[in-house]
Amino acid sequence: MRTAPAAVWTFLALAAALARPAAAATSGGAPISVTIQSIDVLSVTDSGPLNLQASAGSNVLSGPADSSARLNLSHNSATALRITAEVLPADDPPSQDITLTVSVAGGSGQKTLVLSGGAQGPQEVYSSIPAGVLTDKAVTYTASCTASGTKVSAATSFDFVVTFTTLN
Amino acid sequence: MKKVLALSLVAALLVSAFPVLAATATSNVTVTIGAVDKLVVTNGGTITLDNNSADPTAGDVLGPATDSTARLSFVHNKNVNKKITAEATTAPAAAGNDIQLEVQVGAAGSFVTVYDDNGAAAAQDAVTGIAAGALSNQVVTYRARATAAGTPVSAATNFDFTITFTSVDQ
Amino acid sequence: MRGLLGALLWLALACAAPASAASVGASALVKVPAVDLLSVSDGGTIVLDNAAADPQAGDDLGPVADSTARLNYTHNSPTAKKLTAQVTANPGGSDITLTVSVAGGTGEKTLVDAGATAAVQDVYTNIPAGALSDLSVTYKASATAHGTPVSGPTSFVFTITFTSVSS
Repeated sequence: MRTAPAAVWTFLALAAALARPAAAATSGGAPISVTIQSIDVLSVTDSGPLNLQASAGSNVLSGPADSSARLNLSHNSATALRITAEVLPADDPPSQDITLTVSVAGGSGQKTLVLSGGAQGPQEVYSSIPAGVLTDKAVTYTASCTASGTKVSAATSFDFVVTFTTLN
Repeated sequence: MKKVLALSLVAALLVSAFPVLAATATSNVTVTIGAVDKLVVTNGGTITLDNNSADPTAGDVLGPATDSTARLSFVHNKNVNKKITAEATTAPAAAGNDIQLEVQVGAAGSFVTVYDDNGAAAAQDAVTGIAAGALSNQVVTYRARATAAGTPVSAATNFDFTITFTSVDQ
Repeated sequence: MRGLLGALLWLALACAAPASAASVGASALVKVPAVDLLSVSDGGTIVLDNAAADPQAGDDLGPVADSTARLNYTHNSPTAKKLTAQVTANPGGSDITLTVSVAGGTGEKTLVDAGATAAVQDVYTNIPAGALSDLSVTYKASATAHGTPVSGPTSFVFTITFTSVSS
């Protein structure tokens, strides 16, 4: 995004100060353009590890939620924006039946990104965002799987890439 | 313009440096051996002393006649030997008869007298030296005799006995 | 005025382009451990006394069974597993025969044979990744009166170790 150069703003201020009936001779008009770009800046940090645990006799592995990630957004659209989150099929690891959910503080509640290993498509995690900022919103992930559906010969990490996108 | 901070990683396999160990669990079970001392004796039959038991050329003795219907089974697990006594705990009065009743347990056992002309005897050792283990289905032989003069009857008369067998530490 | 106005500011408030979407990828790392968890609770007390004796049949005491113990197991290995059992603590001094069977498993197996500890026994085989939940474990004990003489009621405590093994 290109912001208006500082020099332009300085010029505008100067011009405003000089806006009074001129007593002196004037030159001809000198046109100047200022462009305000659309601003739409989104950042989301990575989560901490979601460590799954099992107990004897239960097929389900689960663990504590992680709320390490932070979401920040700045936009100046005249139209309210929303944010979706999605695990793209290409980013969904194979050979697992993990269920992964996400929720953004103050947003649209918990949404399922991956259900038993299958990516669920884009999920709205924050809606009706007016021009302005969302600052340091906690992003909470939960994960679970089954012993029968996620077989590993040793401790294994499954890295899900979650794509957050702003939309009108 | 859509900006994508592409993370091309699909799955990161971070394999543990150590192999999976076998799981073990322990379970305890207690077997309690109780005191075992169990004696079973089935009922005898009827011993009849009649003309068939009489030999007037030899005197007025009636019998002896035997009955081997009853069976005795015994098991114990004490670490000392036991014995089995026999006693006529129900018997007719001594007066009016001279019946002699004997008991033998097992073909190799000795006959012991549980009732005679004097009435019921004290408990008699019928089997001795029984180590932990079982005697199963031992033949119990009752033997009875009387005399015609000593046991006069007006008609066929039953003289009923109850023999009680008891296990005792030897 | 005009001059000043000549220095008009042309404020072109124009959006250089239509509103565009911002998109960013973030990592969510899920760590799945290798799971191999087994628990077996204790059995009850098996009593061999007069009630377990039939002198007409001989001096055998029992067998008497107990199904108090419960087995729970979970694993997520790509390879099937099996469970074995063996007596790892035998108090001795008896001719007790002790067997075990796990519900749905490989049937009754002898752990102690007339007082002698037997070799390790398979009690459940071909277990795929997943869980076995709350399975009944039945212990059965017998002895003989002459082989286990006692001065009074005497308890013999056996410890059975269950182990998961790759099939």
